[in-house]
Amino acid sequence: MKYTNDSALWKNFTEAGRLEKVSVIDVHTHMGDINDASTPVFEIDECVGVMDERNIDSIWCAPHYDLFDVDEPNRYIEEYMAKYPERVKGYFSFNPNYCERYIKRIERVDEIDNYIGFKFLPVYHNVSLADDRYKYALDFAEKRNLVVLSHTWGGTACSPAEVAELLKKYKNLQFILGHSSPNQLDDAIELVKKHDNAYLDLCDIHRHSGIVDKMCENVGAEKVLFGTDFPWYEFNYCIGSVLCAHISDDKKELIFRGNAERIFKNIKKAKGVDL
Amino acid sequence: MKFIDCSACIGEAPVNRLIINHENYPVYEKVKQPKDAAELLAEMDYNGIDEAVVYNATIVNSGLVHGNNRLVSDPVNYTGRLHGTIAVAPSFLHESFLPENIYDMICRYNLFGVRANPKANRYMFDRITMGDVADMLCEKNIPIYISPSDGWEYVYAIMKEFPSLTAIITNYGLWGSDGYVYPLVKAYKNLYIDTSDFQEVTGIEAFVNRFGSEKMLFGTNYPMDNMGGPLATLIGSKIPLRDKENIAHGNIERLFEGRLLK
Repeated sequence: MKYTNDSALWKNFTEAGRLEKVSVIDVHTHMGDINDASTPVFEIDECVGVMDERNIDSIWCAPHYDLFDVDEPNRYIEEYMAKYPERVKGYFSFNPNYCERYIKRIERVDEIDNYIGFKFLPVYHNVSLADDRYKYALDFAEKRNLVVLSHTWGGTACSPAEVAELLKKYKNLQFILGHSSPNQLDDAIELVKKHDNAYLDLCDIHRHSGIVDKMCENVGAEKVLFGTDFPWYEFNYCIGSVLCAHISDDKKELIFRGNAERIFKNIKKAKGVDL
Repeated sequence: MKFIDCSACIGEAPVNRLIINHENYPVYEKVKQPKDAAELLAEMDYNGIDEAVVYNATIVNSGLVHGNNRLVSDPVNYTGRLHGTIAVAPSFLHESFLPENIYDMICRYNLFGVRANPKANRYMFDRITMGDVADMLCEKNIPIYISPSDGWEYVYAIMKEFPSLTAIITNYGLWGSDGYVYPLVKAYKNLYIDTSDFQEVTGIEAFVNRFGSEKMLFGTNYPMDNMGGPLATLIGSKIPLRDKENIAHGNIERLFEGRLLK
């Protein structure tokens, strides 16, 4: 066998059993257990332990309980950010079925430095991404250059068609196409090529053959973000998908960390927070 | 470390590739596919994978007899670093599915095992329909690949009826499925799980701590999955080296040796 992958980062991983040289920022994570998938670990403390083991610097997080338990919006992410301020940055989970309840607390995004934006789950909340009920949160994010991470999926009410309409109106917020719209990745790529404020997310879709290469080739590594759905999935699987892609180590480093770091710094600047 | 991929595919899909997210939940996406053995071997070289067990894509996309013949039509698909598998179906559908003919084919080409997709191929994998084939597989210790892509109840039904089958669960999707997997592994001593879709965080550690490392086989499910993800997941798992070696190559080598061929 001729071993032809000459990536120093991959060599580093195989020797150390983890990615030692780059501490990763994961922009698409959750927390807590979920009723339709098994997760051997899911509590915040044990998850931070796994992050230490896998050399994950920080996660951008929308806990399951905040997405699906509407009793006290975003209680859990605020707990996690308070406990691990350097490791956990927060999405304000926004459920448009309870719009008023969420809007009532939306000022918390300004008050807490580690909020970086909003998380939408259009299919799971059964509200199209084109629905007006997202407007308040989108306007809020637009004024502050915040991130909006939305679940996107081809052939559903959060497909590239709905994202395209949204991006026509919103030029300042940083829109991450969660999962990069499986079934319609090519359409997601076309959108991200056209809009400076749109990004592809590796979460889930990285696992297929050739996806990381295709994204980088078409939109540039600068527009591709590392995401895993943690604690659904193993960081190392996504790390391996990137490390064994046919791209340079410089591009891999952008995906693992550089791109998220750049976005995060811009958010802090826009929020007037000292770096 | 030596790696033997327990399941990869040669050939191209006619449209987008069908990929399993979890049972009855497919995604159809354009992926980088190896059109022939040479392209698969090049990707294995890039990733440091020594050997692979393969099938031809046409058993999924076209016809079983056609796909099996495509595989064995060129020795490059089942010799050297590659080992072949063929699809099985009820023996009354075609003479090539008669148990004696399947066994002859396996012996002639030194194939590793067989694959069954009962719902997709529209038959029941039970004693009435598949008893003759399944009995031969059990008697000769020939591994059979089964996917729960159409529902885990198919896997449970097959194992309940043929508990001594050497079965490899593959192509099951990335959602955590411990609720389905653990009872099967506990109940059936010859049942194995392919790691290609095993993406649960700390999932390999949890599995090995509970069942040991003998029931897991390293796999990539390429090209539905890439090769780097499963490799990094196993390499980075916090289990002893001897367990990694079992999963990476030792267990499947034992299955190779255990087959009773002519």
